[in-house]
Amino acid sequence: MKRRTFLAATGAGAAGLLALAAERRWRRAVVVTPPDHAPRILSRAEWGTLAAAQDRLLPSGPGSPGAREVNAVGYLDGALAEADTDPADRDRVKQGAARLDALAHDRGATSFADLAEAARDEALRAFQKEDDAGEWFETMLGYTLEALLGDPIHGGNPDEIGWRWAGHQPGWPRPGRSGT
Amino acid sequence: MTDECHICVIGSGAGGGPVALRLAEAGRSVIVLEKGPHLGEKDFAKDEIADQRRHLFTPSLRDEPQVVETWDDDAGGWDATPTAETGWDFWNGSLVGGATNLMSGFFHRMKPDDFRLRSAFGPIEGATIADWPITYDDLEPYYDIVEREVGVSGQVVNHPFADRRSHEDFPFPPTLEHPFSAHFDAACRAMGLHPFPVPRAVLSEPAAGREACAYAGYCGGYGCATGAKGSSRAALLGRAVATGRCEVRPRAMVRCIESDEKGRAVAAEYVDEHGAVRRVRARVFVVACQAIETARLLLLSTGPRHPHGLGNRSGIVGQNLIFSAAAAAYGDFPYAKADPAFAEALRSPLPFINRAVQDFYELRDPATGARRKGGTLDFMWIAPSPIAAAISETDEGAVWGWPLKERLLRYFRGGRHMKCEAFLDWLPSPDSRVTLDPEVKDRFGLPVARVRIARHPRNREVARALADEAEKILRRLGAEGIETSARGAPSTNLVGGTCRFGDDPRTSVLDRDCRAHDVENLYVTDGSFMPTGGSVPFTWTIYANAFRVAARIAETLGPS
Repeated sequence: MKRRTFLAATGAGAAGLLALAAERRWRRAVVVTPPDHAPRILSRAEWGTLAAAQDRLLPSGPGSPGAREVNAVGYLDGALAEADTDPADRDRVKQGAARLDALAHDRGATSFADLAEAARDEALRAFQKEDDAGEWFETMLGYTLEALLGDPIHGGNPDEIGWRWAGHQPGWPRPGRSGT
Repeated sequence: MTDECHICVIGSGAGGGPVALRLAEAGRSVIVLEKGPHLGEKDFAKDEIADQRRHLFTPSLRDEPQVVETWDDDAGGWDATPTAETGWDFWNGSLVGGATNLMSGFFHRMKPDDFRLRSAFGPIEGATIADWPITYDDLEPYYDIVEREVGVSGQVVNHPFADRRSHEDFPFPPTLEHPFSAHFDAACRAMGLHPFPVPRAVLSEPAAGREACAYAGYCGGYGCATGAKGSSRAALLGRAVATGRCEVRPRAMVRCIESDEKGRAVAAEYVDEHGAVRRVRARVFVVACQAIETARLLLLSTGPRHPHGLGNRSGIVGQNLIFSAAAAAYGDFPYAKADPAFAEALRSPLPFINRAVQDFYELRDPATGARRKGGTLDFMWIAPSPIAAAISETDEGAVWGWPLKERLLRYFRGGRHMKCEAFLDWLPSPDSRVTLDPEVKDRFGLPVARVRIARHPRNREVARALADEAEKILRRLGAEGIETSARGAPSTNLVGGTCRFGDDPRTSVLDRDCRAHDVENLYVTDGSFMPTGGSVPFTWTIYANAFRVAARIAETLGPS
């Protein structure tokens, strides 16, 4: 039996995108994250730590969009804020952030985000060897890859940058058609 | 509040749609109760996050769980886990039209020997295999009706297990094919095999107010935005409603069917979308909620003459749960290793290969040489769900950073990825069954279905044999990185068996007309009736049988 990493996230439609809410009254919610929103679930510190971690899970390079370019941390926060997201996902993500900061302390930094890239990778590898860390990596990679390869209507993959990088042709029709 | 009608149909998928249409056409008043919402073409979008990752078309597993029991070798007992903890659930398409909205529509008929599996191949220890009380010839006219009423595209090609048909060919030509299909045919023929185009419940031409397929990708698992896919909703229910005699009530969760002192079903009691309790009285009740939820509803529906559940005098409602046992093989076709013309062909965006091989529908026992059942091999491109594909490249979170990005680029840009799905019999047993969970309740306060999955070792043996044949074909096709899976795992979307039909009321729930032996006005028309399911997907057979039963109900009711 393969564990499904994410349980059904359902709940109220996100505020601010009335068009989507109106069209999809039946559509139990779907993650919608404006790029500039204030953190809803994550503290400022967690936001910084997790953004730094996502930057290593899905790094950025020339012509190769990573977590930064696809708004991965904002998407993550929005996804965790959905009413029916499994609370265990929220706890796991936050506990992982705390653990990464603790590992950074051991390495003489005040927070994980203050480590250099190579040191962040090393701390992540150390974390990955710990018991139960596997679920954190699965959860984080799941949300991060949703931000890379999901429909832009949900707040990741801006201008289809992830699809273009992958050469993916999306299906039709896309969500968020007007007048339906 | 109570409403009245001639026929109350509970569930609106492949089992419910044909009954609603035929009885409405016959002048009867029909009310269809469906627990999910009523969505149409304009509501469907190709949205992997909503539809697949957030499971838009199934209930929340915390609000409406099931409990799944699997055998734990270490503990030596059954291990019960609520679906909310694993995400492994057996809900399928909770919306008007049911799971037919989300099917891929690979349509195969059962073979004549599938109707008499026990007689044709003999008993198997530990399996409650029973012959069907009807034959292929009894059902054939209804397979034919489905080709026209639901809309099946295809092309008849002769092969050793080709179907006997009433019409020479399909009513619609095959859907457009990927250039790879020609390569597939040549490679299989060189192996002495007989590839044939897979019939699809997808319109290749506009018909009956429905558009043709737009070849827009994202087919299986997604609602069809053109109406080409032959869902019960697109193909049947709209026409039923257009008669003026059929009403479809969405978001109506039936919690029991009441029966009277004589044992007759009298009313379906349901909770509407506002939480109000309502009732529908009818002369005839037809249950079609898929095999697991149908068994649960009957077990919940106790009455003065039915202390153990409606139609359950035999005590076997819920037993003999079957699935379509699965095996799979995967292979890659890298562009870099293909010659330029083949690489160009591989890059074609047309989504369907539409090829199957049934040369292995029967196999030989490796030890004794005796005939035994095999199955169907269907070949397809892996469905374009990029998030799911990317997540699988992480190896459950182990691979990240630049190594992950390199894997993603290789997966998405390096070539095409093929899958072979093998369909084979899931051997029934009394232990493979649905009961009411003694503790867990859903948001309506009702005990949920407890699904025990008992696997017969033969499933895995046959799965292995078929996966090996699929591997040989993939190798001949030039695939690299071939992997096979032969767990004989249960399909979550193809379920049946829990109300098997038969002539003996002690060993079956339904008679040959799919009427309950002990409730004269109760019929079951989803996959529950099937004592065995053949080595094919069930959907065409469920549709055909529902048209057959609808005809019997119309006859029984007489002129309207």
